[in-house]
Amino acid sequence: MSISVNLSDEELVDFVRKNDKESYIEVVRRYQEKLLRYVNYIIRDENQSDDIVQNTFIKAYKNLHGFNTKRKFSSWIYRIAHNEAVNIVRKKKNEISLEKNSWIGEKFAGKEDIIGDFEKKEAVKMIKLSLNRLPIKYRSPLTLFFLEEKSYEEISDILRIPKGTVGTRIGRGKGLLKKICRNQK
Amino acid sequence: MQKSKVKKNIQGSVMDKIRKDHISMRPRIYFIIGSFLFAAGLFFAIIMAVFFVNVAVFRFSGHSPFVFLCMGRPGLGPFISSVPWLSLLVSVLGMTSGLLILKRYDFSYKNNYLLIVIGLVAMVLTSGFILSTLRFNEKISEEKFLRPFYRQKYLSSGWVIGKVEDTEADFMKVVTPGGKHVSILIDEDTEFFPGEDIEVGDTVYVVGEWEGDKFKATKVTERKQGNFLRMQKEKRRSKSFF
Repeated sequence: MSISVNLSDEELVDFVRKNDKESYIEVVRRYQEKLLRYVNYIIRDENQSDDIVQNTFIKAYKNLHGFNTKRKFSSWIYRIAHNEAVNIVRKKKNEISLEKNSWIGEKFAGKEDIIGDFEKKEAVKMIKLSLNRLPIKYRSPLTLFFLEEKSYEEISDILRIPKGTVGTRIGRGKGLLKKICRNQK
Repeated sequence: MQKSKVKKNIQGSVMDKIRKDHISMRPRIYFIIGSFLFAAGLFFAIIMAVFFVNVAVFRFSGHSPFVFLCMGRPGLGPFISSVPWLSLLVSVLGMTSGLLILKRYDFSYKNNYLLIVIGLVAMVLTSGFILSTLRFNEKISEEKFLRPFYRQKYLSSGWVIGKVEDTEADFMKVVTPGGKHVSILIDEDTEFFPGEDIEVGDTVYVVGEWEGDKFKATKVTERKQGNFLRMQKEKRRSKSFF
């Protein structure tokens, strides 16, 4: 087993920078799944998600010396992935229906029982059903909070918005989701 | 199955690029220089904004374009042409670029950005006002590259500003701070604001049109609390303008 497996994200980045670029494979291993899932929620296009995540890892590698190891690496790499995804969404603008991304439901089917809180469970269900109809402004914080289980602090760092705004957007997003669900019924 | 294939591709593709040196890490110095340039840019933008707010305030206090607004619509053109737009524009540009650079720093989103904007604008305006009260402007306005920003305009095709040297029923003689003597023609259509009690030594703002080398006044107003001393200091500075 490689030494890099036991390191924290920040220690791993430091190790890659100073000693062994080959250990970057561990960074990719740790974040590939998570980033693919997040990017897919934002752009809802599996093929493009792969390209975005690949670009994210390439950009992160190039700018690895720009990362401050006193900060959280996950927020930093999510931020890069978020920016890449948002750029694509802005370019595309056309919405893809949720039916084309039925795998989202499958992917989270086994995860629901982890979330104990009923309200959270409801929100996750609603997000999965109505994500495509939500503006990206609300889609990102809701996805990060309910599906990626990030804290307000981390979401604030990823989206570069104040913590208060994170809370407001999650609250409003939930409200919008409820409306969408009601209309669907 | 398909999922693991995709996963393998991303991982393989990224590592392949790294191993073959198709991509490489930017050196640490690149980021150090970048941070330094951003900090320098922020500093320069704020200094520029403060300096040009100071120039604008200095020029407003030397000859206030707002006096023309007392004359109503005819005063609008002279007001627009005598406002130091360039200084105001440069100070707004300085503030805007300062705020854009600030947005790159983490504290801009960890705190209320609106408060940061208000704070920065208030700081720039206050510093600009304080700077304009110092004698500093009189010294640096002599600098060749700064002269255009300090150059005051005291007469144009439709207006004249000057100190009254002589006054009669149908004319006035004024001298601009630039040292130019102008004869102002007055007739029954000339309106005085707020009254006709203009005396020798008063500073007047006149709107009208040129008739040869004389200026026919349509509206005249007196600047009660004008800083004519400062305007006279301009005389030495703005010789080239006339």
